[in-house]
Amino acid sequence: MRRGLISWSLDEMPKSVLLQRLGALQAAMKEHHWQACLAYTSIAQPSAVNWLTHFTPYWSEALLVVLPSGPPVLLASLTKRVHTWIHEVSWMGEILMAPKLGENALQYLTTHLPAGSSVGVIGLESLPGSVSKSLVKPHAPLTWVDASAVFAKLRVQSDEIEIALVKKAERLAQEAFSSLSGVYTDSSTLASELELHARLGGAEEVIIRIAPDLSKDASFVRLEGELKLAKMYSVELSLAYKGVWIRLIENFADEVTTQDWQRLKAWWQQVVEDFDFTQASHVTPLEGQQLEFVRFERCQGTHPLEVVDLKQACTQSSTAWGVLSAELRSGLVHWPACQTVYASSSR
Amino acid sequence: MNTLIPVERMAKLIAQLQKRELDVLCIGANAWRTDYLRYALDVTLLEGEAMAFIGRDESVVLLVQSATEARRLQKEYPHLQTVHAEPYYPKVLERLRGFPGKAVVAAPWVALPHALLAHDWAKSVDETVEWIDLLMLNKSAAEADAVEHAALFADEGYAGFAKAARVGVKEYELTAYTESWLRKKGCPENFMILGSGGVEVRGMHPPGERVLQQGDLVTTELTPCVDGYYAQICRTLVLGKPSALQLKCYQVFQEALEAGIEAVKPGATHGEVATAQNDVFRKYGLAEYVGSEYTRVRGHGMGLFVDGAHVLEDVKLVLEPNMTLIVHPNTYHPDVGYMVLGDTVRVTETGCKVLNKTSRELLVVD
Repeated sequence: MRRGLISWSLDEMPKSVLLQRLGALQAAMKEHHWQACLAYTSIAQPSAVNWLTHFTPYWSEALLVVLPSGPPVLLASLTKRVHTWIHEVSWMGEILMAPKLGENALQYLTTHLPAGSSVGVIGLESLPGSVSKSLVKPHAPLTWVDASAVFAKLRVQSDEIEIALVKKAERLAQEAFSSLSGVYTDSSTLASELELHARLGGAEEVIIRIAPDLSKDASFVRLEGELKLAKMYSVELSLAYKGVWIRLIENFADEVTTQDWQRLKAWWQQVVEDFDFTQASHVTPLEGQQLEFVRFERCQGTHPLEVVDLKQACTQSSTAWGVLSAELRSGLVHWPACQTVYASSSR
Repeated sequence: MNTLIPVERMAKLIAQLQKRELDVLCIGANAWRTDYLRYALDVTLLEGEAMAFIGRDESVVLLVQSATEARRLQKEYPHLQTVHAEPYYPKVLERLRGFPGKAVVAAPWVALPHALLAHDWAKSVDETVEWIDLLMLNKSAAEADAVEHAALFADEGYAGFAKAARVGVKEYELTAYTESWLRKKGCPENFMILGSGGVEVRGMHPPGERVLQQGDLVTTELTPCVDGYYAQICRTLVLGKPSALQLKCYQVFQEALEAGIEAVKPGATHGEVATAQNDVFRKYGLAEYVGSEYTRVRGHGMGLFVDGAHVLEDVKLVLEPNMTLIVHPNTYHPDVGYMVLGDTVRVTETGCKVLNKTSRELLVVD
């Protein structure tokens, strides 16, 4: 909920790109015979609506209604007073007050669509019950369809604008880490400096988790109160910039690092450099070391990042970027790693 | 952190399950609404979704959608049985089916996804939310103490905000300095919006790129969270010497806040607190500006969620000792723009205790 800069730069997100994205969804709707498509947005599930309109709610929730043509309509639980602000930071058509979101959305759809219309819902399964119970009613004169798979197919086709935002987010994270003055013994000072630089750079949101002692494990914890940092620790920075989310992990040691530490750093750098979506297997451990897991995340629906099968992602020629995470165990060190990776055409 | 508070809260939940002859209570959470889970298990979710199964026998199983979150919670809460549930919705449904013939209830709607609503528990949600909300509303002394502690952070955070507010600073830079200060103090969470400018400003919003200028009114509501509990402060400052008009208009807000706080006592309703504030505006011919076109609410409950029961004239919620709320007559003034002023209060046996210590004067920043 800690919103940083929310603004709309026409250089970074031209209206034409939003129109193209909308057009792609409307074309898919036509193909699937949907008379409308809905996308829910809240702090927890901002991404589908953000991709289509550049809007991210700082509070409350809303439903975006995409019709076969024309700009989308936002049904918003937020008060009318913020509608001007919404128009300043995003592009869409009408904004309607919808204090009872599910009920108001059903009323809107039944008023504007012919009886028997099919309505696609992006992220139908994860639609909160507070909305769903009043909206997705079996006896309503509408047919509800889960639009998630169709939307995901469009969504993973990242345009150049999105790639540029991802790279900017990544740069912000890297610069925030670069701003740290050495190694820290307490989490609060570290988090304070990291967050300051990320936000001064324009980050919209920052989530910091820390694994305080890599000699014990690489479990990242939430920072509440003070956390003592051991000699080797890891920091995971999840950062949002103009609606795009990335993650970056940096590992720290408080003394001259061993050869092993340098080898692990070099290993991960090589993994990222060599990463190729066209290959079936991408992450192999160093000899004698154990790869605990490999994980791949990308944005393909309403959530900022979702874990997807890496092999499956690699078979999709449209995959342009994602967040790759792994953990290596080397002797007494647990080595977590996480960074954005790109298809070669997007680098 | 008062480590007894989570124990106290769980005991209250179990007592309700026993009283109502319920076997299992399911509490949902997501990255936005994690307050019910915080109440039940003292857990705050950062990403994805989670479902806690709390048995009348005090058994607890927490199913978590995100692998990273599951691992985190396993480390942070070793006493809980936390399971990474993959695939999430089928695993939750599978667990639900493991209670044949048992009375299983669930809450809240906003954290129960559509995929899980087909189960019988959906019928129980309204009633379950009602009694859990009452537990969350009627705080123990220790819980209200936690809100007091958060209010101290709010005061200090505002001092930092005011120090950083200078001509030439951008709105988002101001937020960055404030958030950085809160992280330095170990404060994990904060809800904050602001506004800057003059008569054209109708409300507050997340920070933008606007550069603070001489003569600006800079408003903010700052809501830090400590040990899970939120407290808020709302203040207006002016960059440079305030105009006579700004000072005169601000006095209405000061009088309205005082009237609202005066109305807070056991037995009074949220409606009466709202009316007390609005009547001040009406007295000065500003009746038009107490409606929804210009203002959202005249305050709201404060606790494990930033936006509890609203303080509006038609809200009949009766105040009781240890309830905590923010009283804030924030609204648009046609002569000077949007102004805010608000303090978090704690209902006592005879009235209320104001938890914020920051001066209510219009702060002048040179």
